Formats: sequence, C-alpha cells, structure tokens
Amino acid sequence: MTRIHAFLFAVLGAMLGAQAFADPVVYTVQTVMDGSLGSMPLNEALVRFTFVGDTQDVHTDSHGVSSIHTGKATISVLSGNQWLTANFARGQVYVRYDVPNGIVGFASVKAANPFYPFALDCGNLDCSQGSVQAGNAAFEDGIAGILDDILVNPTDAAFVSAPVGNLQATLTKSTLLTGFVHSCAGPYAANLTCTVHAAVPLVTDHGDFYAQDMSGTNNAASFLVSVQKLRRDD
Amino acid sequence: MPPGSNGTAVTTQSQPVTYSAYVVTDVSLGGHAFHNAQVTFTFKGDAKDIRTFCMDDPLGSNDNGVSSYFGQGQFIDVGQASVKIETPTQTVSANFTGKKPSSQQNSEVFVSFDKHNSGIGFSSYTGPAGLEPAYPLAFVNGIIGSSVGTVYPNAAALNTTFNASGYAWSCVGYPPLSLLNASQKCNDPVPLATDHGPLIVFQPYNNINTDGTLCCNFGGTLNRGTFSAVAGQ
Repeated sequence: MTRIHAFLFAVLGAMLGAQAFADPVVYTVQTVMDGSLGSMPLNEALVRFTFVGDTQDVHTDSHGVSSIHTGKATISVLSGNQWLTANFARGQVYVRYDVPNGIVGFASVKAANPFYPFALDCGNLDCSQGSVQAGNAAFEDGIAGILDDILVNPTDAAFVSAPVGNLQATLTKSTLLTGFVHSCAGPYAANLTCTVHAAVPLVTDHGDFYAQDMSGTNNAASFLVSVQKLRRDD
Repeated sequence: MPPGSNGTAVTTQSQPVTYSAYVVTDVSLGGHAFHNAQVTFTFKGDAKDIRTFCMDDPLGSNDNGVSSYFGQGQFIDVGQASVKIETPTQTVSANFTGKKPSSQQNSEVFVSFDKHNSGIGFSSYTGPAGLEPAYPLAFVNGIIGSSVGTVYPNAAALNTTFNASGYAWSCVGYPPLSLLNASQKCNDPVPLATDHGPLIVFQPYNNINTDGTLCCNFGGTLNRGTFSAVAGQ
C-alpha cells in the first residue's frame, strides 16, 4: 500500500466516521473449518460465524483498517442435521477489514492476531504480509481481493460484471465479500497446512474454541455484511 | 443423471441422507426479489437411491482436451428438495414441486457429484438441454477440487458425511466455455417450480473478459459457498 493510498483511506475513513449512523449490522460467514470447540473436534466441519453489532461502533484507523469490537459473536457448528451454537465470551473476537489489503475476517485481541480465527483473501501463506494485490492472482481470490485490486488499478473494473461495482468495501453498509479462508494462528507451512496451534483459546459458553486449518488453502467462503437501516428523517 | 442414462446403485443399504448447499446471492421467489440473500438448498433422500452416471461427449470428441466424456459420478433425484431464503427482515422456505419430464418420482431439482470435473451441487432437469448440472447451485474448486481430475475423497459416493466449500455457480448452460455454448456466457436463469411460486437464481458476481464473456469455467464466478452431506441421521 502506498502512502498516498493509505492517506486516501484515512481521509475517507474520517469522513465516514463523521457521518456514522446507528444501524444494526450482522456479519455472517459460513465455511469449513478444522480445530475444536469444547470437547468436540472440528474436522472439516461446517461452521457459521456471526457478529451482531451497530455500525456506529465501526472505527477506521489511519491505515484504512476498519474494526468493530462491540457486539455479540457466535459460532455455530453443524452436528448431524442440527446446528450447535456457542456464544463467544466478551472480548474474544472482533470483526476486522483491512480495506487497503483486501483482507476481512474475525480477529482476536486476546490471541494478538488480527487474522485469527480466520481471515479472507490473504492471498499469502502469511497473512501479515498482506494480499497479493494487483493482477490476475487477486482475481482468483474473490470479491474482497478484487475490490482491493480495483482500488489500486481502476481499469480492472472492466474484468468484473456490473453488480460487482455495486459492492462496497466497508463494514458499515450491506455488502458481500468473498475469498479464500486463512484459518491459522500463524503462517501456513509449505505443505499448505496450519502447524501452529493457538497459544490461547477463544472462550465460548460451550468451551474453548481453537481453529487450525488442516485442509489446505483452497477453502473458500463469503463474508456477508447485512445492515438493517432504521427509519430516520435524514 | 443424463436423460436415458442407466446408472447403477452406489449401495443397497438404506439410510437417510441430507444434502445442503449455501450461498449468498440474488434470487426471485414467487415474483418477490431478494438481494444478497442467504440461500440454502436442501435435499432429503435415501442412500439406496444414489446412482452412478457417465455422460458421453455429445460431440463425439474431446471438448476441453482432457476427457472423452463430459462427466462421471453419482447423483440422487429421488427425494424432497427445498430452499430457504434469509434476509435481515424475513425468512421464506419453499418446497420444489417440479418433476423430471415424463416422471412422477424423480425430482426436477436433484444432487449430483461430477467427480471427473470436481463439481458438486444441486442440478436440475431444466433449461434448453433438459439438464443443468450447475443450476440452481453447484460448486467447483475450493475444497471440492482445485483442478480438473481432482476428486474430493469423502464425496466420492455421496453416501458419507462431509463438508466442502467452493466457487459457487448458478449457471444455465454450464460450462460456459464449451463447444456447446457459443455465447460463452451463462444463459438467462430459468424458473424452478416450488409451492411458493417459481424460483429463479441469479449469478450476479462474475469474472469476465472485456467483451462480456465469462473468463473461465471454474473462476468465472466470484461467489463462494458451502456444500454439506449428512448420512445416517
């Protein structure tokens, strides 16, 4: 990300912050995951994460990274034909969107990891190295990478269908982001599996949750932002 | 799955199987439009009704340079298919009511796994060709398979429990880059009969060439989703 790029995001973030409205928002991600929840092992389990908050609690820093820490987070696991839902304890996870790098997901202050338990569109075995950004490789990653790519190379908008242009790179308006799933407490190994077990658990009312992807980096997901606009006169 | 195909049963053991597929996309049900809705397809059947298929290349030659046939795998079209549409303000569920032409038993919407092309999902007996493998919703790439010829082991017979994610296609005329598809695009989506009116599934988010054609048969969609099979419960 260039300095000019970062500056533009910071200005944009400040402008959006100044216009913040209080609207309920739900972030939803459904994907396949390895790890454990309480005594239940997760082996390529179908999981759904949700975070319910309010758009006025979304903050954007000077690097263009948006996050929301205030809200209720859950993880649901498909067990047989039933969904088992666990509530994360307060302060375990938050939602984070690094717009300049096109990386979005659930993060953890406790684990000191902005890409754990999962992040979409790292484009890289080590999320902290940022995304692959411009070029066709970004296109392979999904919508999160493409919106990032178009910000850097506006002419690349010619390579996506018109409705993609209606999607916004934000946590404060309804949108859809997609991409590969990075779910590891550290960088992936060369064999594309996660060998790093998180040092600390993420606490839920169904026990400790750990994520550790063992199925490679081809796992994909969508990240849905659903904002329910409240009636107001403005 | 292909009309006229005489598939063999995968197993004689009777046990319930439930398949589900999830995507966020635009749909229309009974004339009501839903934008970026969470859409979940479900199919409930019996493992004894899973059958194999092997679909010959109708052109009699290699279509994409990698095979002498279009597809090979398993399918199940005896059972009940349904759809659930969720938005922030409402949830609507509907049962598919259509049947395979000239059949009273086989569902218009069914589940198939094309292990030769590493594609899995909800297919339908509809469209101009009478069979759409990737409509209303099918997946390629992702966990289900990263390249042609890759088989996701647990999905091999459709009669085991497994989960997968992949690139989500809701495409009439799949694969778009084929000798059988001159437009190199998905055709207009077609309605599928439900007890809440016709369901139409759109594929709005695509990776295209500057002339508007889809870039590719796998990466042409920018949407992602999940597929799940639960056996024995």
